[in-house]
Amino acid sequence: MSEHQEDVELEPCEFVLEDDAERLWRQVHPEFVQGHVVLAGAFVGTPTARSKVSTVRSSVRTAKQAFDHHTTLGLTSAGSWAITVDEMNVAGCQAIDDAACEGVETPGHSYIDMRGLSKPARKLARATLAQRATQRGRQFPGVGLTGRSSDRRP
Amino acid sequence: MSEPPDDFKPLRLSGGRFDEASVGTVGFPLEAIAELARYERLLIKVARELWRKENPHRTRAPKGFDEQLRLRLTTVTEGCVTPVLLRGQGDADRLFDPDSWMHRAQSSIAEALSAIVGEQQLPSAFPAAARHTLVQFGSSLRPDELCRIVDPSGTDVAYTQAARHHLVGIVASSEVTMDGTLVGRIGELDANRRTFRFSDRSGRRVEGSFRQTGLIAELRQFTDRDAVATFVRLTCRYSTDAEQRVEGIEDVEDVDPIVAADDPLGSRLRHLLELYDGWHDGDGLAPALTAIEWVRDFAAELTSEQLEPLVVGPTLEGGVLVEQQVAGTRWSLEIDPDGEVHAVTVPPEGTPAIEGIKDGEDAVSSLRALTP
Repeated sequence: MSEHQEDVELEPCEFVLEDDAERLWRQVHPEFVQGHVVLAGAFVGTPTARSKVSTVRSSVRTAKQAFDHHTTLGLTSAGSWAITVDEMNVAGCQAIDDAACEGVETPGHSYIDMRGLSKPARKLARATLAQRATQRGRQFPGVGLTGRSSDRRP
Repeated sequence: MSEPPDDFKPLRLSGGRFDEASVGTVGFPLEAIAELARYERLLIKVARELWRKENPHRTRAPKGFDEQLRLRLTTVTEGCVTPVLLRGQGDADRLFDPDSWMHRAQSSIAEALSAIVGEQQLPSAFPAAARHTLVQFGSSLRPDELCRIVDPSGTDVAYTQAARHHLVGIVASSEVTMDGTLVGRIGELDANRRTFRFSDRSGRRVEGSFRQTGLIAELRQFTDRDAVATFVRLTCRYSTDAEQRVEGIEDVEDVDPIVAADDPLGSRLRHLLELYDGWHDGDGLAPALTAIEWVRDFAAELTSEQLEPLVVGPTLEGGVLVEQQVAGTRWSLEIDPDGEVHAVTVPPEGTPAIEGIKDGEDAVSSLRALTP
């Protein structure tokens, strides 16, 4: 990547993930998946923090557990896709663990930190992460399930 | 044509001044008689508007229309106070059936007030031009008085000042008519009445009408009851309700196609037109029409081979993404709602690149550059 984000101060309850091989699960809304392609729009944060993209650490939860937790909250997901810490760093972002922070209730919660990136750099990062996630393919559910909560087996 | 009815009892009044009458004082309190005049005015207004809707080629109601519907108070029955009315007589050489229009108007009024009592919006079939007359009816009712509105079948609904306040709120806050454009689909067209049914981007269906006969052929070519009907842009005069939802279309000036089902990427673009604010679990803006049209024009420049791997989706900020991933290379075109466009290329290995895109031709060049 041509641009790395400027240093952004972390909260005391946060820390940077350093195991390059660790995968982080990203829940992707069905509007951001067509066929096997994950769109770059899947890597945008919430309205209050567009540059903080929620993920869940694979060292704490499985792809299925991450999916189940997300959909149990009533949120829509087509499934869990995976990005490694190294891929985030290459895309110019940092992977941050914030599971110990107040108000964070998702086990193993972490986020892709795009704060400090310029708008073009964020677009580059999102497309890069979408490319990597697409290459790796959906991690849960497996073939035959769409990932919508209505398709889940009891 | 039917004979005029012997009597007509569209109202029954009780409570307050009317109870005093029923328990001993004979007759109808004169200070409340204005409500009967208001009912007559409302009945004639609604009948006239219903007649106009059915006769769009006629600019005015037939001669003697109002006179034939005028009412006279003949008796007041006891119990709860029921004014017995008689429709006016007049020139028998008429080209319409006044009793039919009177009953239709009576039915429309009862239906409208029933909706109001149920704290709903006015029915779409109730003539917009009669709303203010409807508001005036019942204005002298006191809080302890009640007016039962009877429809032609004898069913009634209890209309009170409290219900009327709901109506006042609806009309005061919702009577917004504006000139502008609407995007949606035409599901039905009645060329004789110059009316049509229209579904907007949210799927909300409203009635529309138009004056220009020249528009019939244009509207007809886009009319389709099927879900694949062409999305069009209407330049029109329309009204909205208190929540700014389209209530009705009063007249159409022009119609233009936006996306047809058989357009390149038409299926996906039509899907984007159906997304509403909040599509992403409460987040996510509806994709901007300008972004959708940008992609439509871009897609029209592509070959079928170029189109085949492309996927199209929304962005949370109201833009549109057009992407492909072929042999590990990602190409991502993002059209922001403000018209700014960028293309990102991410190769399987090596450095990704971003470029600003001026127009569709520029985007086609960017896509072509991927092909060796």
